Amino acid sequence: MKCDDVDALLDEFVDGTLPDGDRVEVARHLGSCGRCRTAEARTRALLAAARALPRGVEPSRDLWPAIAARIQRARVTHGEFGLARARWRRTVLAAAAAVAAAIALVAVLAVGRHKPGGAPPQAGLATPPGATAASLGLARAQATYEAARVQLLAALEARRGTLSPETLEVVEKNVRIIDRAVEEMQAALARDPGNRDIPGLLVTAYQQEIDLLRRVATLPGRG
Amino acid sequence: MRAIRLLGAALAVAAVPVMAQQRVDERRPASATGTVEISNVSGSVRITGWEQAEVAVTGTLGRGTERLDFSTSGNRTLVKVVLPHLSTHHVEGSDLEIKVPAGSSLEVETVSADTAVDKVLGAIRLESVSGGITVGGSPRQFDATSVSGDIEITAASSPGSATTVSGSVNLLGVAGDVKASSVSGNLVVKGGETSRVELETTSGDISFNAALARNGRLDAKTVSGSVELDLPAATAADFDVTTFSGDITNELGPVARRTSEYGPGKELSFATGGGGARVVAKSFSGSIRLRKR
Repeated sequence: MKCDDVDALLDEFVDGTLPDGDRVEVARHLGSCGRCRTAEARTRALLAAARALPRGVEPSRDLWPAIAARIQRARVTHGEFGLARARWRRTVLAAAAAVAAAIALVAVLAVGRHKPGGAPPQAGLATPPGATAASLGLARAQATYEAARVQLLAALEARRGTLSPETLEVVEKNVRIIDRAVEEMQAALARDPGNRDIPGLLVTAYQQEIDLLRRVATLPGRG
Repeated sequence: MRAIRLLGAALAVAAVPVMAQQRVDERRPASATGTVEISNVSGSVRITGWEQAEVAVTGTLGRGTERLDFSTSGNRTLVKVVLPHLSTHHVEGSDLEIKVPAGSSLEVETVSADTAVDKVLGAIRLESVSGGITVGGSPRQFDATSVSGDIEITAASSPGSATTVSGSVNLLGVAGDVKASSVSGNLVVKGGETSRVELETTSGDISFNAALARNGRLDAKTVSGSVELDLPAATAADFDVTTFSGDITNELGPVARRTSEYGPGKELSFATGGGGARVVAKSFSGSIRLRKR
């Protein structure tokens, strides 16, 4: 087994859900590869960090009224501080990069870690009662997504005059497509909270919207 | 770099816009493995790698354009079509043919200009708002992004990513580790033998019609788009296919089973040819079809 193969199976190995044959192969490779052992340690640390997240965080089911209010606040804040556009853009990008990275990290935890019938987590990494790494990871992803989205929608507003109407139309249309998809998946998850695939698709949608809005902040203008 | 920009800004103040279309034919010595930075708002940019240690720019500057910045600093070469800052007149697009040392890396930025790259071996990063992007040859790595423009990558054996919002992405004959994503654009992978492919959309359709390398991996995820995977009959792979409310059609193995007696979800796990490669396809409401070719 090569490093790339081990990398693809590492999440399941750490989760203890890998079939015996693959588990033995991965363990054998880890015994002789320092780089992959480091990756394994990093994955275990991520899992432990997710388990250490506050247990009271609940995924909100109706995000948008609160987001709309926060967008208004973000606009006011922008005006109050009187940031030059370039500085504002850098600020937004830095914030977006940080939260996008957070989403990427929790995505690792939210996807593929909630498998009914899978082997229990390995000893020494017990999950607190009532919370799974997946649910905690998803809650964290939703929180970071909301924060990033608010900032980036404000950035879109700041750039409105520099982008062509056609581009704005495409961006807004696709934001609506993602928002509708997120709403549908959140509603489905509310009906079927144990579903193991929706969290992964939700995180993907979150990332797509953050990537889209972040890109708008860096798009070249009309000149 | 900063000095170049400052110089450009200073020149911009004094410059007079080109009142008629203007021919360009200029050359500058350049590092064989340097970086060429290109910026053109509208029109077209065609970039080709060649064996000479210089960058050559030919073509036309559109009416209303201020000037062409063409300079070299260290191992970076800048080719930038500069527009008037406060012009209220219509500015025509500029069409540029640019030859660069084959080992160059590229950083290209356009708004509506189409970009075509061929025979460049360094890493290439291409960004456009509504322009199309086409890449041929084997760059060391590619990263192409567009909002509404289409992206086509042909015969690249290199790793890379292609991202759009509503434009389509076509990866033709690619062989490296590739990733493509779009919100509403369609993603197509056709021909070649891929080692690791990640495809993600929100509502765009995904079509994969290629071979998978031994121990390769294919991940296709969509919320509401359709997923069509056409694989050679001899494919040896483990499949993991799920949908929350879509449909699964499988010509490679068993019929999908419902995940619950009452819900619409379906899932499918099976292996062909003894397994080896891994295929994961997931949708929320889009249909998933596995076909033998």
